[in-house]
Amino acid sequence: MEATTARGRKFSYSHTLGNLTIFRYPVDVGLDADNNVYVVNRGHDGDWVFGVNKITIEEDEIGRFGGEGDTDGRFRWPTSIVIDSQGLAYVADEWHNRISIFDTKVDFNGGDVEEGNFLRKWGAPGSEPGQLGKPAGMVLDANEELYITEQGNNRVSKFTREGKFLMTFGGPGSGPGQFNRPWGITIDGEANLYVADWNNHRIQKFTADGEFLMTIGEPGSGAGKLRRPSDVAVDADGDIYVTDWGQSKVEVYDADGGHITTIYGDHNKLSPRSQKYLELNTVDSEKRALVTDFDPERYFNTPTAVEIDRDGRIIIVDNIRLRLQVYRKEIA
Amino acid sequence: MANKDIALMAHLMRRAGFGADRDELERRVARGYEATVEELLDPEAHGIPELDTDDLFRMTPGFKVPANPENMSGYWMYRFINTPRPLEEKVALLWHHIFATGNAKVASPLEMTLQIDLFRDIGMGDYRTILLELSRNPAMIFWLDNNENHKDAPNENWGRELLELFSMGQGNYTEEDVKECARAFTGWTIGPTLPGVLYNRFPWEFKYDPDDHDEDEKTFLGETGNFNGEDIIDIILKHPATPRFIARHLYNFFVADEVQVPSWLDEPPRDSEAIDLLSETLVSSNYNIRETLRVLFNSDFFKDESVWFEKVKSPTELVVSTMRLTQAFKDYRPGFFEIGMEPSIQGQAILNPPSVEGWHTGHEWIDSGALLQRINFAADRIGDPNLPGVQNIVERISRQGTLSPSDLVDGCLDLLGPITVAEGTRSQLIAHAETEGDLHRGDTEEEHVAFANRVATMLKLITSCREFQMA
Repeated sequence: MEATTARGRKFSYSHTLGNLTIFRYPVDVGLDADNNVYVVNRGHDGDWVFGVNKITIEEDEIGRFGGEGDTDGRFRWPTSIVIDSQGLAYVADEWHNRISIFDTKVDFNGGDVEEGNFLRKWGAPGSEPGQLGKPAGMVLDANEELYITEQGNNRVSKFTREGKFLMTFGGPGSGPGQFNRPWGITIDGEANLYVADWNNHRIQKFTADGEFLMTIGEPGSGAGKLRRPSDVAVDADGDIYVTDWGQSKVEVYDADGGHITTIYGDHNKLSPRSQKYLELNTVDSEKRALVTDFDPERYFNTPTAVEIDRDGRIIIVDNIRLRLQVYRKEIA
Repeated sequence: MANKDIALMAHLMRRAGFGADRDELERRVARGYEATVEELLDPEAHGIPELDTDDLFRMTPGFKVPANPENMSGYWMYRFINTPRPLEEKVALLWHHIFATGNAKVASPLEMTLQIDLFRDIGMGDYRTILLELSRNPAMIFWLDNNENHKDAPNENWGRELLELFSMGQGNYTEEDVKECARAFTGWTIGPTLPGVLYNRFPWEFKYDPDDHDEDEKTFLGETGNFNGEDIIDIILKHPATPRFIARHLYNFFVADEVQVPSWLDEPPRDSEAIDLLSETLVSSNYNIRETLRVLFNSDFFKDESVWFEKVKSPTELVVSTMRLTQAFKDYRPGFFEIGMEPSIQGQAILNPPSVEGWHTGHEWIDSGALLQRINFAADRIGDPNLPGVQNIVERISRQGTLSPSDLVDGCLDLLGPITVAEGTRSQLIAHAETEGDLHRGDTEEEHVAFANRVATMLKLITSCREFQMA
């Protein structure tokens, strides 16, 4: 199924970005003003990709920055990325409990890769207000201030881009406004916040000040039900997209939380990069030629993030499959 | 709490798990020996939860579908160190020892992981199911070339190892039996699978191809018929060599080091009566491994002090028991990749055995290079007073008040086992402790640190003793 039509919306699979040759367990994407895509990789390997890829929505690779390690400009457990209006990238790391800031003028022509783009960092580990306990998800509001979910502290904290603490809300638990290891976070056009409350199997919606508004989704299996959701995004119409990490699907809800549809993944054509790989590696292409069932390749496996780009495309981070699946929405 | 009970429980936990610290041993002794055996054998029935791998996969997605050997071994190491069901993991290691399959040829860390998952899931079930599932396991099929075992061109690799290494042992079948066995498994193959080069690994699938199966009559171990693989397994299980072969493996793995497997044809078992009992239990229980282990762990021959410390720790046992004791990696943190590769450095590349015969065990684990590595690995951790498990030992020893040098030595030997060392070794340890005289914790922070350092130094010295290398 390449398109899903439900309740007046049509969700069509557009294309796939990336594969094993450039991504290693991607966990999040960020978008800049030019609609370039920044992919945070969580994979481990000294000589393999580990850091942030910058690519176009058409899969042209522009550059990379970051890398594995403990020194400035490197990551252990990167989780999330946002790009501000000046083109600076903020990357959260839940092992180092810090936010690292990079310029994004990266290319492949020499040393301007990895720590060469590092500008500064902020954040200190702890549970006091203003400290960080495993920062997991980030979003910038209209004033370009950062909301950060902390899975270790079960709260959301707000900082300026320079790291000045502004406010916090939440706490451990399963009641309204409480969290159990929150992960992704997003903001809608009215400055309301949505948090993927991973271990409570739900999305919670708040005002910009942290006042609880409503819950979206509920625990369980099947359409509209969630098991350990990892991220949430809201499009221009107010429709809400949730990556159901535990059940490898994306749930779509309307602004009132009513269920619209479920997307399981529709990858069905190789990107130019993937085609080129197979052209150059005949043993793999010969093996692939024997395959009759491509369905396993079609579906999401443990999606970790969803973002809406400036053109309304829905970008889903297909973590275990080492790629992004891109969709378009039309009003039917 | 009697020291003897603690010592017996420690013996059980070294063999049916990867050791236990004193807190755990005391809890288990309070519950009782037989009750502990039952918990280990059937954790599900006793409400002991499985590891929550969702937590792990959130932190390290590469463990869910491993794309490389580091993820593969790191994932198993995480399970070894953190499982609340140690016997399940130990049994998975047992079958990996016997059904030794290697990623060097399989070249799919995911398939290797799925094979270990299989051993964990069914490893304490009946041996018929284990052999049947093994025959259908894609990693094993590929490892022993059964995907190349065709009706018109049989490949005997799987058939031979099924008889020689997985069920009866050499000397109990003929070359003709090997050929007939291979014919019965023609058509047991793997379906075409998406290569993992673009979007990570996809699981392989067993496929039975009736068009490639040899339907002609076969004669195997004296029986004649149009046998398929399942029939072959049933005939194997009727042969008296099979339960004895499995029993000896169980004894070698859980009770005391035997000679290497190729010598079993000529060398009688170390304890024939034990092998008889285990063998009879296998037959009477329809080859139920859980029931056989129940008999083993409750037997006099297992509890007898003559078999305590009669096994050289495998590198995996040494690494895992050290990590569990020190609690250095009790929660999830970076470094599992490196710890996962440590047994390999010590001579046991888990998930990559040297051949289908697996590893030689016992004293063959030890050579001069491996010994140094083993000692250094354990000493670096057990001698680190900052690690929680070491702090627990320091705290327990501090409760004894002022310690003489011999008290310090005996206290450390007790809490690392209890371990009994040769008298000459003990004298040398005491002589070392005497250089700094009696030990008391003191009142100041500085004195506490000095106390912890002296205890940690003694613990470190003990890790270099011969007895620490034994399980």
